[in-house]
Amino acid sequence: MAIKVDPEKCINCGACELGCSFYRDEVFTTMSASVMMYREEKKNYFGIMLKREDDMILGRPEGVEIQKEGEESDSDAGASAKPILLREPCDNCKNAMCVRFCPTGSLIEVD
Amino acid sequence: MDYLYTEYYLVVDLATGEAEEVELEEEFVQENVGGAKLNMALYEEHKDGEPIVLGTGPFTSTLVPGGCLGVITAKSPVTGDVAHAPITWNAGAELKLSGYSFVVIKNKADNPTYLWLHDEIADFVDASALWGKDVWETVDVIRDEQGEDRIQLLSIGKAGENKLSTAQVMNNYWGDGDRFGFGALFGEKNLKAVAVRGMGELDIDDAEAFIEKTEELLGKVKSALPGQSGLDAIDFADIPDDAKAALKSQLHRVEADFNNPFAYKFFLKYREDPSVMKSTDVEEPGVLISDPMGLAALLKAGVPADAVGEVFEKAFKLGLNPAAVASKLSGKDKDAALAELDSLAESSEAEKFEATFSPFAPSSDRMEAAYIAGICPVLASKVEALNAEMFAELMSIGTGMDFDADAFKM
Repeated sequence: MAIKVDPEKCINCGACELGCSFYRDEVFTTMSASVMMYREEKKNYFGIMLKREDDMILGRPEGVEIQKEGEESDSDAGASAKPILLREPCDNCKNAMCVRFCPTGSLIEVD
Repeated sequence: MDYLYTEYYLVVDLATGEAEEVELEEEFVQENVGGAKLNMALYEEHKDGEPIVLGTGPFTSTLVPGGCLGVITAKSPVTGDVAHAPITWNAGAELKLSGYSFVVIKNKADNPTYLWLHDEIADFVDASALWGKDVWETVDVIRDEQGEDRIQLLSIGKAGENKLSTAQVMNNYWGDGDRFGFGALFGEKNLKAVAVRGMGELDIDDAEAFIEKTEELLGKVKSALPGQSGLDAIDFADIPDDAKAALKSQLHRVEADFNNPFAYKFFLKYREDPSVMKSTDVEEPGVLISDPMGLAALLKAGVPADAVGEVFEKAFKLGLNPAAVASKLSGKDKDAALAELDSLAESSEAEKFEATFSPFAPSSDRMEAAYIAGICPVLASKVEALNAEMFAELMSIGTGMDFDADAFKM
């Protein structure tokens, strides 16, 4: 089971952050999720980052980019990625809460 | 309070520069629940200090759909009575996660100040250099100063500094639900901004049952909003079709409040092709229409639809409530309207009206409960399942205490 990101559908509500954090710690917080929102607010530029074992998915409005471990990204999403680097990677849990609570289908589970 | 709330709330005295942490006791929550209702109890308790109370509901910062809401409670210069304005977007959620579910701000600072609330710490920061700066500059400076892009800000611009009843408490760069002139109260108190960022955690009594019920509720919410977002969703604002068509030519992307499935906010781009999805060198490409009723008021006043974005931007930078000044812009073209806003930020007065809750959201019989629960009132107006009975059941599960529907009435 893995998570697929469709950034065009994202409305930047952050339910995925809450859901993933709850899965890990059974509390409401945004700080322990493997998935994280980013936003350049004045430009309305926003999307989703998902940390995986060996890489990171940058779900940017203009498309999805896979950033390998140790690689630099010149995108703004890459520049915003630093806080997520300290977090646990996605463990590909089944019936993932980030997917269940995403209201738009921006995150979906795939085999 | 062990569940759904933080352990403490904060009482800030701007005159002395002291902040006191007070335990949020179970009995107090049992009696006053949260949001506007608990704010009101704190307002009464600290009335002598002419307080502004910032508060959250039990479901703010939780997975309950629409759980974004913070509430500002204070005596309105517009109505003359104590009133409640919504804090949408992300500031309510961050306030609670900063460690303080409620903040009472009393008295007046000697010099311009901003409050920086984070990690159960309250800092008083000198804002002398920010006084006179517009709202957008203020947001940029404070985020830069504190080193975090996700800091959420309630701040004022020139209109608030000038203590006008048309001034609004702004939410980051954008307008929000303050129709009550609370921006003038910030100005009176020499309070330029309240900045919040939260790394806290909220416990739940019966977490499994709470999540099960919340997920069931999310299903009902999604069923009530089939395909609704942005301009197409704000039918409550009564925007004419020709104006909608003009706005659609500038439409970029829709956005939601924190954990709000209803993306009723949308961004207009007018300094860049709205089809551009990349982040470009254009630093200020447009404006977030965060306030559909304010948009409707401007259009009704005769501001041309293709100019409305820039009028919003200017009003937001000045910290003016667009709905309150719309009539002053009647019949003006874009340049004249923008010039008029400069004058209005120096001197203007909001038309009096009577209301306890802000007309930011459509009136509904669920509004009161939403303001107490910490649920976006715009969403609640659309979804019947977001009602007092549902909130009482969820709160009982989440806290292990007993609440009934009457608890979610003022």
